[in-house]
Amino acid sequence: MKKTAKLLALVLALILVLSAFTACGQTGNSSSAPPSSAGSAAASGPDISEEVTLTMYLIGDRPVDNDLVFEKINERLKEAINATIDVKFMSWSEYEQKYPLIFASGEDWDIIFTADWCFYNAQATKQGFWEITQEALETYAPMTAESMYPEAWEQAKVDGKVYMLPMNYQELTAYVWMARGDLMDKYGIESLDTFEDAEAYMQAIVDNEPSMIPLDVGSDYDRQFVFDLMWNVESNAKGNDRYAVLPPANLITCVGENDPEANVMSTLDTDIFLNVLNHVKDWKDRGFWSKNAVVNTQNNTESFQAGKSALAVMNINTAKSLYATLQAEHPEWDVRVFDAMNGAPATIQSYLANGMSIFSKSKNPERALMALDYLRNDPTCNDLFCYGIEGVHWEAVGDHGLKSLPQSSNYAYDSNCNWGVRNDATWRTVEGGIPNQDELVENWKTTARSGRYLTFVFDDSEVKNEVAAVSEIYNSDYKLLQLGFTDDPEGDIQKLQEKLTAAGVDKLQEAFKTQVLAFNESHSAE
Amino acid sequence: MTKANKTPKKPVGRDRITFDILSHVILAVLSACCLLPFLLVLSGSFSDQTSILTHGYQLIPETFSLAAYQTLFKIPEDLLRAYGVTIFVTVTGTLLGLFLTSMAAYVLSSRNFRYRYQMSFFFYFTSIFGGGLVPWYIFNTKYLHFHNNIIALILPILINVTYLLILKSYMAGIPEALYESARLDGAGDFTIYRRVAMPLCKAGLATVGLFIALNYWNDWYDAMLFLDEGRSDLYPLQYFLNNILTKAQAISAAAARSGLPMSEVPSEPMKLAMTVVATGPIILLYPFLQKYFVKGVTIGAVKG
Amino acid sequence: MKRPQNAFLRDLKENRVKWLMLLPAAIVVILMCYIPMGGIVLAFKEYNYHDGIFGSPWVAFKNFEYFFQSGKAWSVTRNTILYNLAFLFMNTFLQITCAILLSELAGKWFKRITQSVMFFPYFISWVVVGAFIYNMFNYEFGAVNTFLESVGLDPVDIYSNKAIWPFILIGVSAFKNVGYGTVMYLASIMNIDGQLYEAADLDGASMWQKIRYITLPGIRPTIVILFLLAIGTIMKGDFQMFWQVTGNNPMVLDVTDVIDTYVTRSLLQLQEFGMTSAAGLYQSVFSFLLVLLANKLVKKVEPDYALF
Repeated sequence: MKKTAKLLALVLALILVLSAFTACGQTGNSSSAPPSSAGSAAASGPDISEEVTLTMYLIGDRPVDNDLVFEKINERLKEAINATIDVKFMSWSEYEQKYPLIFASGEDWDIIFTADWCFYNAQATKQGFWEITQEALETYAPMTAESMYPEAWEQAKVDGKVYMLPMNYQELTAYVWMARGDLMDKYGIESLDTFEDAEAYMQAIVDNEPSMIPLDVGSDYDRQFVFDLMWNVESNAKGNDRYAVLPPANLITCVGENDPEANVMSTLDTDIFLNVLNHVKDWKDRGFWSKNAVVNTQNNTESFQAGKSALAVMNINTAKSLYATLQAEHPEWDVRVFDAMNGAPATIQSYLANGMSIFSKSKNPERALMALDYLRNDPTCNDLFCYGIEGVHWEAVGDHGLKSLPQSSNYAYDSNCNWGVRNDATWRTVEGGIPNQDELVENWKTTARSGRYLTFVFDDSEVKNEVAAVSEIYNSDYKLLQLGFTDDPEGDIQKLQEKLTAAGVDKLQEAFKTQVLAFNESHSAE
Repeated sequence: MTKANKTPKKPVGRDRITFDILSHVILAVLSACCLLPFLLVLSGSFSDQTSILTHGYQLIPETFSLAAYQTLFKIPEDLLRAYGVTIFVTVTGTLLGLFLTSMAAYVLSSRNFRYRYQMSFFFYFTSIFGGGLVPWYIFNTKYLHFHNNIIALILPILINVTYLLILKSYMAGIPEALYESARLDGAGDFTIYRRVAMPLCKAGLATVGLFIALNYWNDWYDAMLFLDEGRSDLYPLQYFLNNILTKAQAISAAAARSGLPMSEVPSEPMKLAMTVVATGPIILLYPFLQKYFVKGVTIGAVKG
Repeated sequence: MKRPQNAFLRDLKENRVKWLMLLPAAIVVILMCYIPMGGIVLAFKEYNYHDGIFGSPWVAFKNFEYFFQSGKAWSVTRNTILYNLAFLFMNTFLQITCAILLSELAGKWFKRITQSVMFFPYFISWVVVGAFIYNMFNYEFGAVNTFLESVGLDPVDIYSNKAIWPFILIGVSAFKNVGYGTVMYLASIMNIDGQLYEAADLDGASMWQKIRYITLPGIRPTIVILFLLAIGTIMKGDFQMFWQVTGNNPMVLDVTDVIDTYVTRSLLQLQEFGMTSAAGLYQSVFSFLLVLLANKLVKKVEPDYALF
């Protein structure tokens, strides 16, 4: 044992010595970096005498014509701000692993795509992004400063500081059913506008089409769609007492929307949870989805497309592309799309769903901000980045429409990780699509509301352990309830409440409450 | 001479017959268990997405489709280049890795090497404790300049401590007397390693060589970490395939989460076609190595 | 233990060829393992990019808390160890059996084919294995239930049956690893002195006697070393296997959750390097203690077989 101890000591000493040399390099680097950036920031007004090349990381696969498009963008940027952009892509298959690593690596780069689903909070709290102050915004990105939605700017704040230019684009989050017209006609179902209609349709499938699963929801993201729909309807029925689920959803926390006391609670503690649970349980028990839905890794859209299921639930954007595909593949299905909201208002999607940030160790953060300003607001740059080259990839239809040209397969409409610079002022929609789309959207627009806590952002720095423990419950036990897997709803709710207590949910809710109260105070002026 | 030529001098005993029957049956059953899923993979790779989603994996494809292979071979030069990179990395890495591992194993197994326990511990310790991905990545990119460097595909898995210790244990089985006699003939350590230890340990070397080769063949993680998307000329096969596979899943996940447009890829048959393409040549390596797994020749031959 | 101070230097000189032969491998290990190992400090830090690994603030044991907070630390640790032990015994048994059968087999082509075929599963990724399992056990369309219904039996819901999952996992692990591991034992059998078998033949020993008294003792060093190496990884687990094969199924989590899957589920969104390091360090320290113990026992019995 003594020998082992000695050995161990030797090994530890070795590690220390070796690491020390690594450490020297590191501290040297970090202490030498700031002065250079501070120097240029001190200069008043944008100094663009020196030409710079900015490296921009995007997510996805390089479109075939990406370099052609950026050649044009660079022409414009060179002339305007004496800078060019070099684009690097992080493939869909690896961005989750690679994203944090390029921050740590000490590599030299400047701009990156980010989003609430793409590590914005995690990287911001680890000081990965360059802070965009109001002053910097006005100096280096005047066009953005003018056009930025104030809510979007508020929303981007992490602990009071902004690290992202969120997209300048209002999008409604609304869900639709996609159903088989041929089967609806066969069983005399006219529409799926209410839950009862949908039930009748699915029951007909259960009774008559043994080879099909009515709604083949999976264990992935679509598992919560049905639950959320029902929750929204129940919650909306309470009028002024409706609940607002606080982001992030994996902490299962909500608060009465108009509760001045901000009594934060877990969704399990609300008076509507049991109703919603019983409703999903009823659907699950009637065999509307698989007994093994919790391990099904297929999306319900994939099942629908394969003809394995008769109904699918999805957001309107997914529906658009799937509708077009199915019209071509299976015209005999006579696919139809229905509003699945059941009267609950559509919500305006968080602006943080897409955005652009600047690396905290960027050598030219000011110029990067200027470049982003052009990508967002300059019609030439924005059109190029979002849709490609006019006359090659698309042609304009009026001011806000476009038609894709055959070449667009080399630079497809809105699919080039340009989402962070989407801008309502210059946005163009593609002609054609779901027949009743306009009607659906009109309907949602009249009821849409942006929820009181839309711009609330939870700062989890003090309660990371609790966040981890509650996330774990969300990803395991809570998943079962979302899909209606319970034999004893009341008992299981209670059991889960106990688990949450053990996971430290009280401390978490305390933190939420403090932040919600502070949030309300600062927003009371509105 | 040895038992390798299995012509028994006495009449075949009953135990031998029982044993033969039993072993054929057991091995046949086990092989079937291993082969069946692979046949399903093969058949599935020729199916279309719809039939896999509706009917599951079947031995005979319901509808015959080459879509998965067409997607894989869309850019045949890329696939061929990826094969080239993988073969280069596998061959170089295996030869170098086997050489370094066997030298080290020889030293660690020498009974007259005073620090053999300490040095074994020195190696073994790294298989239990690690600094984690982030520090490792930082060191490799900042100081070793692994970025877009083919060395990044070779160095990280060059020495596998587990294999080193296994090889050491095989070498420890070589009788000390053989070393002694070589030493008396005036041979130095390197000569003994080359002339005595290596030939006596062929089966062990074949095993460890095979394992190292398999590791190189299957490695895509290092490529993912260190290669930029622009350097597809350095992509090894598995990374190339893995990209195609996980992309479809990642896109549909992001699309469901944030309402981004999604593209269509035949993901199910693709997984299976990838398995087939990636298994290809390496599976032929094993029969080639089989000649080293012939029982009993080694020590007798040298002694004789 | 008392040696003159310069004993090491003297050995370095006397045995310089040996040290030189060891050097290249040692350098690789130092570069790839020892230097980055300094990063273990992350387990006690709250990492940020600005200050780097060594400059980030210390947080003592805070990163370890989430692991013990939910009360699952014990159950996942227990599951991890029990599964690894089960895999170890099951796979070792099957691998040795196969190796012995193959080594004694006369038919050349049969041997060649079986051996190659048993390597196939190694190439099938866990994603695909997971899909197979789902295809087999799915309640509505799975092969098992289709069969049960065709012979007039009631379908079974395997995904909600806790008792059956340990067996499925053990079976799947054997499927993937038996062919691969057999080679190691086969090589070890090849190392046994052929004269021993000849002598036994002359004495008229039976098959079983030869296996019992020559082959098994002959491969004992390999068994011991592989056992010791396995102890070293007993706290880790084949993450992909557990994640893909069980589909991370919450209904049977009590019996299928291991440390790695638990940590992944918890930290999916947080991306906290410190917390990941903390979990890793817990696994390392625990396995290290077990290995020290096991190695010490082995050293008492057979000093030659010890790891270090």
